[in-house]
Amino acid sequence: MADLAAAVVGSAVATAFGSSLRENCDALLAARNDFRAPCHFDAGGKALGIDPELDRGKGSRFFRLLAKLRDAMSCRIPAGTRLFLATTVGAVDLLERGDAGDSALAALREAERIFGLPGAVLVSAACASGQCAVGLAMKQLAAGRCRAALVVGADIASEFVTAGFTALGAVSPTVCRPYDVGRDGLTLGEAAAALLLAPSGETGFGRILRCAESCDAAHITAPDLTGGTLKRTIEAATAGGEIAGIVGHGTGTRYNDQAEVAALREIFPAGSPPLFSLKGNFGHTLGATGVLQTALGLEFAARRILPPQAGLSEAMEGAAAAPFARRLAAPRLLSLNIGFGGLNSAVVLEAS
Amino acid sequence: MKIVAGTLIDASNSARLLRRGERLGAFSDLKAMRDAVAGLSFVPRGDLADFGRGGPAARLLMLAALLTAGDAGETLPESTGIFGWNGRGCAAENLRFWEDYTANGRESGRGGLFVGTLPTIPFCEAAITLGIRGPAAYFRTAPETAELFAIVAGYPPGDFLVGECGDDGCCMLLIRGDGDADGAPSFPTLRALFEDRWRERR
Repeated sequence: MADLAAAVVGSAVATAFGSSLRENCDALLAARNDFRAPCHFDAGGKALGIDPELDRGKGSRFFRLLAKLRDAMSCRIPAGTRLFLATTVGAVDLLERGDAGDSALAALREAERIFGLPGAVLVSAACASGQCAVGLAMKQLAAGRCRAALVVGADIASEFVTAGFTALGAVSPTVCRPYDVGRDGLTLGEAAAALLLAPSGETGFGRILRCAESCDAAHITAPDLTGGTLKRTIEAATAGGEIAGIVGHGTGTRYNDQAEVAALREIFPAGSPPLFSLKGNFGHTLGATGVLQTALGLEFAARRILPPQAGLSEAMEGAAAAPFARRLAAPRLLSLNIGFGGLNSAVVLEAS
Repeated sequence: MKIVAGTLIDASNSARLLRRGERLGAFSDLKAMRDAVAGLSFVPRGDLADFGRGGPAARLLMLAALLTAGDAGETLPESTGIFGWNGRGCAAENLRFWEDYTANGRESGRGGLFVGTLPTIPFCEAAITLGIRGPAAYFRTAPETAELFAIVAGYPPGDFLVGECGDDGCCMLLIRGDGDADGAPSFPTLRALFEDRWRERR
């Protein structure tokens, strides 16, 4: 595999816990969640990972989320930067009120405007969109097709998506419990995150070392429960290198977590490195989750600690999740994304 | 990078195969096209069990994937990737799900319609049809095929199906990626690229 490593020279997050990495990491280390009934639509009594700051203001909630992310960015975006936007349905609140023909395209145009980066690429790979965008940006950087890459992942909590996942029976009647024996579904959330990537020779606070992607070609909504294709994807990304911890996709649905743990058990028969999913804290932030996992994963790696698994009572068999924080033996993590259509993504990241 | 094979299915449900230089159809509908395609000796036997599950875009792309594999005249490796690019995306499917949900009292959406609200779904259906397990995603860029070829060139060398689905049919090409995007064709759509190569071939 060609050397695709990229330096991470900037990052930002916009979540219910705030707009700084420190605030967000501290919230995760305290196993907090911010699940509540949304004010902007009737979720039928379901709790979601809602960012109350987005309830204020006019216009599209998705656009407000992008603006919050931009305000959270402290790094300068250099000339020659290309924007990669990861989202599942984009500004779907515009579609809900009849204001957008194409909510993903509306999201792309607003992201270009708000970050001042025309000529952006929209990356959509269901709930693997975030890491797929990270992987694409790494490849474009390595090929010299841009001087820097700003990868943005964003999705909002919406009636549209809540109605859809509810119809599929995927939503927990309570709150999501990733990797728990009693897990009964996901909790939806909303967030945005950004990574500014530069060629690997540049100095940053971390690096994304490798990435790999695949499609199960097994079922249109369920993952391959044997975890076979995901296993090969993880092996391609780790390339035999040591991993100190894993930020899993961990949605809290029966099938997702089963497939993920099956793959990890195959790769690590003597026990996998510590496993953690941030969906117990934020809910499932869809297209944002991969970028959020990477941004926060670098912070965990720098602190050499993996947060406690929020929502966990008893870990499912073979899942190396724990309700307490664990030290990382090295500042190197594996991060996983899984999406509808059987999409898999694995990235390996390392703090400087 | 080399264009190995390709299929263009148009609004009249007829298909053209780029390498073979053949036309098929026109068929009365996509189900009739499916029945005909399943009987073609040069087309691999794909998984069409769920042909009726998806919307028109999924059906078009499942057929285009099979025909493109047949046009290539060789078995596609399992590592073959599949990418959607530009076209009409899934705005129509999103609107359909939402209108159905609101028209029925906002009590419950329909799961079958919701699944189609992601632009990758028709391409994943095509991956299932062929049993290919390489990377899969949907990208939206400026209308310039060189952009798509530059994306494909970033992936490890191998075979990639790239598809574009519009209201008037779909186009799928099999590209053999070698990491080099120099000299990539410059057209606003895959369909325009196909038409250029079709004329050239004849």
